[in-house]
Amino acid sequence: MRPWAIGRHGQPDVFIALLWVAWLGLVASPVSPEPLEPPPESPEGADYAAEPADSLDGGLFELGLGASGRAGGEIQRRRRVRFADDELRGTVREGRGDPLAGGSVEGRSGSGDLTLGRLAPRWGRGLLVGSPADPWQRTPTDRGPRATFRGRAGEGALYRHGDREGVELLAGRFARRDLAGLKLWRSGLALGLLAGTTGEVQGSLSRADSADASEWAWDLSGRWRVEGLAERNVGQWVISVRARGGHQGFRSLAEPLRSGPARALAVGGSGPAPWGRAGAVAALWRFRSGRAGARLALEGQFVGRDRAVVAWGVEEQHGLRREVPSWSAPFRQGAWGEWRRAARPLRLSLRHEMWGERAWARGVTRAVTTVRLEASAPAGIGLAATHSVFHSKRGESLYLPEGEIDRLVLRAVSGEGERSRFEARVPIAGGRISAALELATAAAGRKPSRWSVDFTRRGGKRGSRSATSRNDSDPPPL
Amino acid sequence: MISALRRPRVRRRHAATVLGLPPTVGLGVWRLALGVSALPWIGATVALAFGPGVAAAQDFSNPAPPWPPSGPGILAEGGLPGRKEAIAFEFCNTRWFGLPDLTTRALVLGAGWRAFRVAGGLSETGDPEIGWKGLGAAAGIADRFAGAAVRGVFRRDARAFGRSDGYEVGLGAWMEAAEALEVWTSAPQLWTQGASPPLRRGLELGVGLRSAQVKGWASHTSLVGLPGAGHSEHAGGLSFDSGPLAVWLTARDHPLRGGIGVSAEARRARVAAEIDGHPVLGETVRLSFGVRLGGAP
Repeated sequence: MRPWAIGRHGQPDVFIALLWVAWLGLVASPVSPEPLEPPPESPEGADYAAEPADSLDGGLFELGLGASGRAGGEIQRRRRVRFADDELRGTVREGRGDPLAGGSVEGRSGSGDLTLGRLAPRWGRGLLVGSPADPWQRTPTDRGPRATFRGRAGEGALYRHGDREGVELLAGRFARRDLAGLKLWRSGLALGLLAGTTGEVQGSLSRADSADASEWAWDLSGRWRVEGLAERNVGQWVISVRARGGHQGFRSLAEPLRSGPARALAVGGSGPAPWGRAGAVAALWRFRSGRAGARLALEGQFVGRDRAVVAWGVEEQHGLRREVPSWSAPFRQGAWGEWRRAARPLRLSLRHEMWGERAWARGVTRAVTTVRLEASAPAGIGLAATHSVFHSKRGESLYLPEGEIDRLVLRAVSGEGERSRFEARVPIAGGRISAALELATAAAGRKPSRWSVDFTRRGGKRGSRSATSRNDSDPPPL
Repeated sequence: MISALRRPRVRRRHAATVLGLPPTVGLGVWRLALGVSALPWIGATVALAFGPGVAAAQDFSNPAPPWPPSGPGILAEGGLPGRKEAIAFEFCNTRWFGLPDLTTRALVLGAGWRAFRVAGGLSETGDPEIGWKGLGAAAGIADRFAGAAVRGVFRRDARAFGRSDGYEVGLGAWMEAAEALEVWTSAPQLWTQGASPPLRRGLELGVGLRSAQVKGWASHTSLVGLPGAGHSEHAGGLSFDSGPLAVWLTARDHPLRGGIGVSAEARRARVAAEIDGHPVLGETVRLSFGVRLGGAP
């Protein structure tokens, strides 16, 4: 549990592991010190869907057919295909109104790797290509080859050759611009160039080893940014320091909306504690004059017998988290706690979080209580119910995570209300049907219910361990 | 019931103003004055005006500590199955807020076989002419370490009121978190349809600690639609056991209030009584008599 993991988008370690678990539906919501929020380029108050960056074993393919809708509304159909072989793997999604529609194909050969379609690369610390992490994060979750979620930075072609030394070529459309990029690296030192069709050019010089990473990015008008990350072991704790500086007007050509604050300083640590694990992070940032913020967060986790988990966190935040204007309170204190355990055939998760605009979390701006109960029945049948009661003050954005069969949806809610989600998963015809029904109630009355149905089937070469056989013997939890 | 809400706003305001009560309470009293089935609305308006915890249960409310769950009443009311399997029935009588006309009578039957638990019951609240009847059922599983159940109640208003039906479906679950420490959750109204239930019930999270003779519990209930800035209620209590006798104390906030209960068991029979005080609405008295016909002791 690294302190950098304390954040909206989190990153490996416990937070991301739990986010992943949340997508699988194991818990009501991931362990996070605050409600999950979509990335900055997503419109505030709109639902956001993220696609997990899992991959199939070699020789497998997966077909998915789905439909979703709401009471009295139009039915939206989706289709998806995933396949993986030793040298070729890909994902294609189709569906009107599906934010994840599109796809990518990756080919591997001795001369290099070629990716066509949707791209989310990351160079260095992400100042030029990819996204720089929020000040309280280590890395973003949806950029780079080891991201937890498959990002949607742009579309085009990416060729990569070499390991310790090599070259990467990039051509595609990012942020409504046609861009071409070149990256050369050797012995941990990398030089990157990015150019647009209208003459814009940006460059970056980065360095990385097992514990430290840094990047300097610049453009032709002389604006620049630099960021460095250092990690050291102090006893059994890992202490991290991250610093960023530069011109407030610098914007990456590839992802201008994710440029983040121009200046930031963050210190964090994580390690064992008498009760289990603990982490802390303190961060300061500044977008430009008058638009700055600070954050202090502590979290702990205790894993008891039979894998029962108790997690908690407290946090105080000042100022702005985003560069764009927001109605959110400039001062915020909050606390959250979560307990979960599996005792077959049941799995129970309870979570409560509360945030206030005054000291000691008074003047509640948002409070969310979530319960998720799962039951596994014979023949691979799974049932689950998730219920959330939320309360948010005017202007506060609140997102409730909902794990669907092929995506994690951050459902935007506001005001006060309740949401219930009932899920069932039944093995059938060599695959699995998953169905979900969502009921939502606001203080003013009931909202139209939503539903979704999905059929997934995997297959593969003879001898490959297919998901079809897994369906019958060891069904994954909802 | 819903059509009554659409009556002229002026008259509602008038009733509330004359009686010097909050408008939400005034609405229920106004319906009483009109001689229609106002009893569900008393519960609803009282809950809206004073918080969700006026009564944590309604149709099958029995006098017992909220934790640990025992008896078929708590299974039918909150979806919390007990550890022990047994065939048992309970007769419960609840007089709400000291109002003789606002009384709930319920008969609940429960049974268990291996890990399966079921309960069903009938209840009647208020006068047969203007009250409502409830039919409840619950089914779930439980063992030493965990339990969960689905529960539902179907309600029908008195015949004089046009048979306005409604139902609610919810669930409850508990699990052992550590030795002698348990957590539970209950969401009795996940799904409601038709006529509104007399009381809105929220999402409850609780933790219980037990020893051989003393049990303690605390709970947090989140609810939508409370007046002002309120959105949750907290409760806690202690229970002391001494042989066949048990005494428990409860406390709740919004507004701060408390209750006391006592139960006694002899052979297979159990009698219990509980009084919940309220600074504004008065006392709620619950009585119950139950018999265990078989199953584990």
